[in-house]
Amino acid sequence: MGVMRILDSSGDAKVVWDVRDDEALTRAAKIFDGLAAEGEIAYERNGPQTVASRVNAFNPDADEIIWVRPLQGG
Amino acid sequence: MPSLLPLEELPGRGLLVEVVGGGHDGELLVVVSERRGAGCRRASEVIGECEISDEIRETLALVERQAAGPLPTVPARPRTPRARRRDSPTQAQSTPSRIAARSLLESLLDESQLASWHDHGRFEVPVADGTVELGALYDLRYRRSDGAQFSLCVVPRSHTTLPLDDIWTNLLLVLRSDPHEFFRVANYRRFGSTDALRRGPVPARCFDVPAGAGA
Repeated sequence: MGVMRILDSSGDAKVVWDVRDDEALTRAAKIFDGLAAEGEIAYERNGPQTVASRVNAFNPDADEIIWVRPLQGG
Repeated sequence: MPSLLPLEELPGRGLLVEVVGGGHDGELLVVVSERRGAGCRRASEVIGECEISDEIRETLALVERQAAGPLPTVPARPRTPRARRRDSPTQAQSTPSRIAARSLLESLLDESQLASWHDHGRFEVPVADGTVELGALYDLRYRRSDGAQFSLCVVPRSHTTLPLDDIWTNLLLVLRSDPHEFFRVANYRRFGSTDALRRGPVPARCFDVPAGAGA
């Protein structure tokens, strides 16, 4: 079971998928591609307290994908 | 009616507050007084990138009236330790958005960062030639290894729609994985200077993250 956490005003919106569920996988992959196209930045983390690495493609086997926003000068 | 939780006095800019409750729960606003001089907009106008509802506008109007006197004083440092604040939850800290954001951030911190976060409400992120301290919005401290210090202003896109702890998560992840981008877009000035902020890139000597300091 994987989860995408998309930072937003709710703290983070979650998209969950199961590798055995084709429909959920397709949906998650589509959301991933859409966010990437908007310039959002994805990090993959496999297990708590492990290193989060930047990724550019959807990995169905990922435990967790965290989406953050691009930065700008304040 | 939503309430506003004062977070931090931003020197020369106003008061950073978080909306608590209502449809804008968790969003950040900078409240300025009319008396703050030319160029400052009224608090009841749209501030930053956030569009505000009539409900919030009413709340801001109340704050504005209060601000007719001196701006509320919110000491930036030392902060109340986060752990204590968490143990004495305010309405804002009990909201799901803040809890989710806090949980995610803390799961990304190493032991020493977590201790600093709990004790002081800020933590340092190592970069190739120094550290960047996260914890004071719009005033991130970059301590270069040669002793030079800079105040950085860099935020996620549309950051006013994010809970504050999500802003730290966002900055942390990008700083760890892509410090070049972080320093490229940041506005900065020498720490302690009253000069206007300069556009990035920040004069960092190199932008590689030290081995073992990855995200």
